[in-house]
Amino acid sequence: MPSAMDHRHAVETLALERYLLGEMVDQERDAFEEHFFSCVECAEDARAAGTMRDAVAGGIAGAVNQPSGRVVRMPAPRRRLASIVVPWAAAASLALVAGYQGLVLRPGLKQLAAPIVLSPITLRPASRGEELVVFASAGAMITLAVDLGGSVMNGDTAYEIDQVNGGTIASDRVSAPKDGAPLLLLVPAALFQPGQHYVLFLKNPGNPPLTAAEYRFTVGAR
Amino acid sequence: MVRLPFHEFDQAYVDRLVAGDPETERHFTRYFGDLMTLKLRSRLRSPAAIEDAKQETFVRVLTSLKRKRSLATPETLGAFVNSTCNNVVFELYRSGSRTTPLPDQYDEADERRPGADLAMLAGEQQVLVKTALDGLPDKDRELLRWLFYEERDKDEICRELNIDRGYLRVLLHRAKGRFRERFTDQRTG
Repeated sequence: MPSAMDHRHAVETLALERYLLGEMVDQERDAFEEHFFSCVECAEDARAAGTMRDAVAGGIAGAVNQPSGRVVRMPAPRRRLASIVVPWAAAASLALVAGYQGLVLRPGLKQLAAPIVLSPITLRPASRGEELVVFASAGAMITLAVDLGGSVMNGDTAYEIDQVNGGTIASDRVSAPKDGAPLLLLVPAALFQPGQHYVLFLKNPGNPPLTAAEYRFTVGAR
Repeated sequence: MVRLPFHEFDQAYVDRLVAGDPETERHFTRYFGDLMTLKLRSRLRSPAAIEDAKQETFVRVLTSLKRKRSLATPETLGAFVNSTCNNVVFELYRSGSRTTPLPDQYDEADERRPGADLAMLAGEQQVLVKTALDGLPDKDRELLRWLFYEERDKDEICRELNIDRGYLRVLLHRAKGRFRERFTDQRTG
């Protein structure tokens, strides 16, 4: 349990700046987080600072007139991956292709000239755990990674996304993912209505006797 | 960061959240989503893990509120979200320690790579953020790039600028203040 930090102390000690610079020990960091989650004034400052830091870290800040002369540190080369992650790597490649297609097909997103990193939301069969809540910003895309749970699909896979007590909002027939990879779907958030429940059905026309898998989720408002 | 109308975390706010009021839910997820992103960046390495932890926290908090139909002290909603988020992170750590670890450099975080949220902000916020950053004095932008893009060693920055760590905080404080001022000005037109 971190000891409490009050607003005056946070301001006087430039707590947010020390937090951003990584200068706090764990206990003080925890105390400051507890504070800014409860203090509206510090929270607004923290939200602005987080936006600024993420934007700079993401490279969207323009270059200054005089280059720093520093060599930008590149990410470390990756080692060979364990076999378990190969399907996810394949899935990520598919997601990038899907993202590219999404950009080409959506003129409103053409202004994005840089690669997009997708954060898939994993959907698991309806019987496992509570219904997932999916949040999406207006105008954004939702990346759904449909966990097939080791099922082997033959040939094509048919999917259908239905609004519970409503109609079908999307459906198609696509090539089945290989080697245990999840099925990745990049869905425009505009197709969903916040607060509504949805179910995604996955069928394998190549093996009709198999029961269609169901994936339930709720779209939260953002 | 989306500018949000001021909401007091009182009984009425919690009641609206429990009732599923869309505007209140939107405020709740944006406000605390930003704070959790800031918090989780130092604890989780990938944007996907951060997003998963945020989603799980929202589910737990909203489920708990709706089950109990209230919160004993509504003004502690922020503390409740924070502690729930802590629990989610601990559970992620514990579940991670029960599995075979991947090599150290597997999926090493690249902090300069925009997360999906940042990329998807393009249509709504990215232009405003970029304009606000571009409007900063060169010295502010250079400092921010050194700190958060190039991730240079802070002591090295201090030596180059001939300042101490205390004054580095002051420079960051000023740059942050100027960014917030410009960003707010743009959003308010």
